[in-house]
This record gives sequence, C-alpha cells and structure tokens, in this order.
Amino acid sequence: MSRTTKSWDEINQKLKEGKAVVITAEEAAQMASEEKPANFVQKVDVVTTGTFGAMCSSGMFINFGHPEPPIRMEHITIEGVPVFGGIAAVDAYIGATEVHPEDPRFGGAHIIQKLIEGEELLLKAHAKGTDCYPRKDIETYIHRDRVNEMILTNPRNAYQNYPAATNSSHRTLYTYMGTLLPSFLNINYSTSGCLSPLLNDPELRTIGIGSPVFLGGAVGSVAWNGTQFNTEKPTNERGIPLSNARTLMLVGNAKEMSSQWIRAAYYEKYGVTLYVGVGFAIPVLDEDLAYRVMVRNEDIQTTICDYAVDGHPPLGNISYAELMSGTVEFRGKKVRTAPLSSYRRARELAETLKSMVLSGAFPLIPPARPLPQRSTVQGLAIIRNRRTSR
Amino acid sequence: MTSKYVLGYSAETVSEPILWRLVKDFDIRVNILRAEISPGQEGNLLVEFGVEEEEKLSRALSWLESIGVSWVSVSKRLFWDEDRCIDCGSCSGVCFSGAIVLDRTDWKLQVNRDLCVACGNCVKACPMGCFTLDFGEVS
Repeated sequence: MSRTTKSWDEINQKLKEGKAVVITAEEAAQMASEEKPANFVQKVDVVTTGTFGAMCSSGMFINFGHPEPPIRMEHITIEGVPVFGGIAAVDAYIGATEVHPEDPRFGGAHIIQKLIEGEELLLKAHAKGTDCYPRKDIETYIHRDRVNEMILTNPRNAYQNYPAATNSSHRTLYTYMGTLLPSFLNINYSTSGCLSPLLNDPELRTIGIGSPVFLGGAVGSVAWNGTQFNTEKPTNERGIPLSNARTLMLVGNAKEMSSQWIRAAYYEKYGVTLYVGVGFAIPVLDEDLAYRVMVRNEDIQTTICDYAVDGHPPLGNISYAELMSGTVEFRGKKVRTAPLSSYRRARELAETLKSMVLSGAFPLIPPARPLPQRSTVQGLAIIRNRRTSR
Repeated sequence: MTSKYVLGYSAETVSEPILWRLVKDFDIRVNILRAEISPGQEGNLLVEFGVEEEEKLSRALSWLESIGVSWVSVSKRLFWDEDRCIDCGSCSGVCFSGAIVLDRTDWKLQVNRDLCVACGNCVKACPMGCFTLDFGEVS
C-alpha cells in the first residue's frame, strides 16, 4: 500500500472546493482508538488546536499619532500605568505585566483589554522638548479608532507544555501557577492537553516564521521563535517534551481582536497578566502528522515541580489525562488538580478556528522559514567583574 | 436540615456559653467549622446548625440577636460573577467544601452557594476576580 501524502496546495484546493475535512484536535484524539494514522491522513485534512491561558510575556505596540505641536514622548502613562516610551516619538509598548504604582491589581493587561473594547483612556506624556519636537507635556484621551496602530506583540506565547505546580511547604504560596496550598494539598497545571497547539506538532513541521495564527480573535502571524525557545528538553516516546520547551513570538492587529480572547487577569500576590487565545490549524500532510495530531491526553506527560523550593525541583511526571480528571494519586494520597487555562474556551477556540478554516477566513500557508532546530536556554550568571575579551 | 452561619460576637457576649445554650435550650446540632476570635476584641464563628423543625432555628436566631450576637447566612455571602468567568477552574482546586466544581464533561464551572463555608480561597485563586465574599477578605 502506498503511503498517502498531501501538499499544502492540495489541501487548499480541497478547502476551496468545499471537500476538505476539518476537525478539532480533541476530535482527532477521540479517533485515535479506532483509526490508524494511515487511515486518518486519508480521512482528515486539517486539525485545529487552541488554548486560552495566562501568557505573561505579552504586550502591545501602539502609535498614538502626532499632536500639533509635536512631542517626543518620554515618560508615558495610560490611566496611570507606565508604558515604555523609549522608541521614537509617539510609539509606545504596553507591557502586559506592568502595574499601576498605586494599584498592583491593575496594569498593562487591563489597558490592552480596555483599548480593544473601545474604551476612552487617559494618556499622559512628558518630554524634555527639542527643536524638532517642542511640546513638553500632553494630556489627552485615546481610543482604538483614533490611534494609528495597535499591534499585539508577544515575545513568548503558546509554551509547548508547562510543568504542573505543587507546594511541599507549610504555608500557602501565591504564584503565577495560582494558589498552591500547603503540604501538597493541590496541583495546578496550565496546558490545554490534547488541544494545545504545539503539542499537536511537537517538532514544528507546519509552524514557522510567517505561519498564520489565531491570536486574540484575529489572524496574526508567527514573527519568530519565542524567547526561552528550547528544543533540548527530554521527550516521551512520542517525541513530546516532558516540560516547557518551544515558544512562539506572535504578532497581530489588536484592533481586530476581541476581549473574548484577550483578557486581563490578576494572580494574588504575583501580579497582572494577560489571558491570550491562541490556535493553529495543522494540515495533515502525511502519516507522521496524522500520528502527531491524534495525540490523546494520556499520551502527553508533564513534570510536577515543587514551587516551595528554589529552582522548583521536579517531583515526577504525570499525564494530562490524570491531571484533567480532577484528582490524582500523589505521594500516597489523593490530591486535587486544577487547570489555570480554560479547557472550555480552548475547545470553543478550536471550533471557531474550524469554521474560519472552512470559510477561508483563516489561511493555510506553509512557513516562510523554519524555527530553530536546536536551541537551549541558559540562566543568568552573577558576574562580579566585567569579563575581558580575549 | 442544616444551614451555615457566620456568628459575630461582640466583646461583651464572647464570655457567654452560647453554643451550650443553643444545644440545650434550642435543640440545635452545632458544628463549628471555623473560629476566629481576636484577643479582647470581636470574634467570628463559622457554624453549621442542624435542626429537625425550622421553627426551632428561627427561635434560636432570634435569641442570638437578642443577646447581641449577629448572624449571617453563609450561602448568601459568596458572589460569583458568571459573566466575567472564563471557566478556567483555578478556583475548583482550592474549594474543599464542594461549593465550586469544574464539570469535566462540558468544562463549565458549577457553583453551589449553599455548600460554601466562606473560606475565601476562591476569592484569591480566581485570576479574573469573579468571586467576592461580602464581609471582605477572610484570612
């Protein structure tokens, strides 16, 4: 029997003719018990993935437009939240985790969400004044429709897997992995299991620079690899990393996004973060990709890490099927598990993306360039004296 | 039937054997779920009252009021902003009363206010700020 392979063009042609079969990654996982990858590749053309979770390393470039007389903005706040103005005259970057100096529960993520929702926000900026930009101060209300660009630019999104967190200590910890109760009373995890984008194409065969991405409700792009991109994490027998590995830098037009998929959040005693909806449509080009997208929750494991100890040492591995059940057997007792990302929304996102692919609203395009085949992550060394180059 | 209350003790009444009187005179099964009494100040007691007849409960509550002990039904203290909720389920892992459960089939959050013991864990665990307890933060 000859092996079935399909090209991107062939799948696009089928989509155009209305003959393509598009399903979600959860539906693909359900087929794993009855179908072999060789049959799957003949039956299914595209598989949609999705996640809706906290992605701290996010933010938005904004161009306010030039006032008259013009200003080279230096110290900028929006509704009291500092935004980065160290870029040309009226460009700024709103970091999602930046906070209001007097209200640690309100920050950049809220500004991003409010701008997307079309709220009027107070902009204040100060400058030293130059011959070409004489204005020194400005105070005005900005609105989505009155600024030039709002470009969501997230340096590290869609982590390929992430460790689950627990707490061995005798006090409650408030972390970016949520509330961790003392003495291993609970375990929190953040990945959407079999729906998670980068777990359905673990070696990034179909995702690379230029790939279209469902980002916050709009069609954005993969700009580059994300920061802390790591290809060298240990993997299971299916080649799926056992902890946080690859990441993506994503960009998209925030004016087209919706607060259904971009939501500000606050983690107790940790700070402000942004929930981002991210999804990819993966073409089932061959048997290998069929095998990848058919991945089930029981086929994906992550590492349980102890957040009470420096360096968050690993305590063992666990599958998403177990984590998603709500209780797991851990260290001889029953422990509750809870997600941080919304599986319900992940499902909804994958369904939305399915309709977008079928209607042609979401394009299927091969990457312009691949992401790194090999990349590791290093820590920050404390060096007391400047090293001299040899 | 059982129902949960937060009793507020004032400095004057805190010395009275209130619970003993509730059992003996009002025939109420008292289960203390949490007690917080600050030295020389006011105290908060989370209790579950079990009664056979509702009439006994209302008599007991009137008596508590008459001696200066305030009471508030706990099931009315938890507020869940369902419109704001994204059904992530972060709160479900820290709710030990069974009031908050994440349905593992449709992955929707289920909140049963009657089971709430007002521990406040969900208030802190929710990244969207969906939960409030109207007496503020419980430590």
